[in-house]
Amino acid sequence: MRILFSIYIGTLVALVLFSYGFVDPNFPYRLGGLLPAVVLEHKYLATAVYCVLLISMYFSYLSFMKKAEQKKLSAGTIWKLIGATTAILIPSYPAFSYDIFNYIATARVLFTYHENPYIVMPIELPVEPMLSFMHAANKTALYGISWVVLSGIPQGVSFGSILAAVLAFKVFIALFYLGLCFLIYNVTKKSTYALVFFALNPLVVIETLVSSHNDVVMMGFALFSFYLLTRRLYIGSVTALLFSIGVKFATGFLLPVYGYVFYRQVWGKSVPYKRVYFISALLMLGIFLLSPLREELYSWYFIWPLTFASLCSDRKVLRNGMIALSLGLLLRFAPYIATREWFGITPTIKLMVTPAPLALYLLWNKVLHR
Amino acid sequence: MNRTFCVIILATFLYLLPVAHIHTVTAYTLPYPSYMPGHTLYTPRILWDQVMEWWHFGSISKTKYHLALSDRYLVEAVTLLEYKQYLLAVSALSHSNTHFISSVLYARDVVDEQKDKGLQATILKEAGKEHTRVLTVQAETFVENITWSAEHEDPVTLELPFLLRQSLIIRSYANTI
Repeated sequence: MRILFSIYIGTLVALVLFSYGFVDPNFPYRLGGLLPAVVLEHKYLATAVYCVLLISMYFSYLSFMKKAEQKKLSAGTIWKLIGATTAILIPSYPAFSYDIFNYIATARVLFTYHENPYIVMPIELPVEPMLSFMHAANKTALYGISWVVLSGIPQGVSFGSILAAVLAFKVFIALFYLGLCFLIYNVTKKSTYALVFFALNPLVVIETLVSSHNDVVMMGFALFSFYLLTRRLYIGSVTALLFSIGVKFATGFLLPVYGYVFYRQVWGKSVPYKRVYFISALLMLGIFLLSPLREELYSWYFIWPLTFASLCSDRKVLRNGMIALSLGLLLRFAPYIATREWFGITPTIKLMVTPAPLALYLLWNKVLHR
Repeated sequence: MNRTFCVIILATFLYLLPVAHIHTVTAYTLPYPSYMPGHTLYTPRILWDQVMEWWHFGSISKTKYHLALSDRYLVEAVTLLEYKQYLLAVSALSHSNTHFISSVLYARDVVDEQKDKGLQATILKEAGKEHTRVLTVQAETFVENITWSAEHEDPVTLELPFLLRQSLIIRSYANTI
């Protein structure tokens, strides 16, 4: 067990160091020293390091899952692991996505410049120092009003410093991550397996604690709304759901399920929650798979179905299939590290690596059960 | 004597040489005509504009908001003039002027607040040029006052030339930012 913990913690520390290899050259602070230059110089080595880190994380993850299934991992230990994961990864640089800078820029447009971020693009404020390393400066706010308002909290405590803002947003999102883990733990009646399935999933860990995407915020409110529904706190439940939809809109597709549960609760009928969560997981998976129609299959969107899948983690094929797919989604970043561009051969490699782990799992599963 | 004669001939030739008229092509484009008075959605559109005024907070947003409305009402006025709906055209042109003035005032706020490096002012100046081009054409067309006689109402004299001159002066305010 100690070896496993050492491998896991060591991998996280290595991930933090690796993340500083992707510091934007226009970032006002020289973070990482020579590491960005080294990562850029030795692209294939960096890709190999990334893949090794992923393999290590998944090895640890599957080991923890097995131990949780065998009840060899106590809740206290798991929470310590989650706490350690959060504490170690908060100081990491948001290496694999620029979304956090978009959050900060949107918050600055509203709270610093007092302009409507749905009308004024950051590029229309050329005095803004963040423009030099933002990647969506020519877009108005991409998120719902709930997130824009919420982002005032970390923006407020950053006092205008970009470095402090990055840290504040990371801590803010990490708090929602911990809250969502706590919710999952409670909704599943303190299932350590469900907790490990979600909280230590490398995709959730990387996309939430390293890249700091706000999907856990959206899913946190969504799951909280279902939780309040089970407690018959209808006003709070509806408010939480509306807040969730106001973050990123995807949870709007849960309305039919929510309506069904609401109706059965109000009329005093029993609610088959396991089936509800399973259908919610499928709905979120469907929306996730349809996301390329809008833009692209982003790996952090997979947090949507993973949240509900953790509530029905006894469904083996769904559970294992999702783990395999999460690996494939994280591998999508590898061709970018190797080529340092999103065009050319990168889209083709991304298309190949994404379904590969899932295909291998399904094949292995078929062979095993022949 | 010969040298002087050559200089005179050259000067005369250069003076008479046809010079290509340089048309100032602004990058600014006015919108297509929207709903006209009488359309079912015209009044809801006005109500929506009032709601949008609240939504457009901040000096840059307000500059954009008022400029967009000024553009729309100008196009509406020009369309109404083509259809000889002079009373409605005068109203639309007055609205356009009001919104353009508001846009200029908010653009000055943007400069005072140092939010941009003259971006909104540049856009407003381009808009002013395009408005001026359109209004100049109308001013050349409507040189006399118009008496508007609505059914069962007293005739009204519409001082269209004066209003058009006033509109042109208002557009020149964009150059004062």
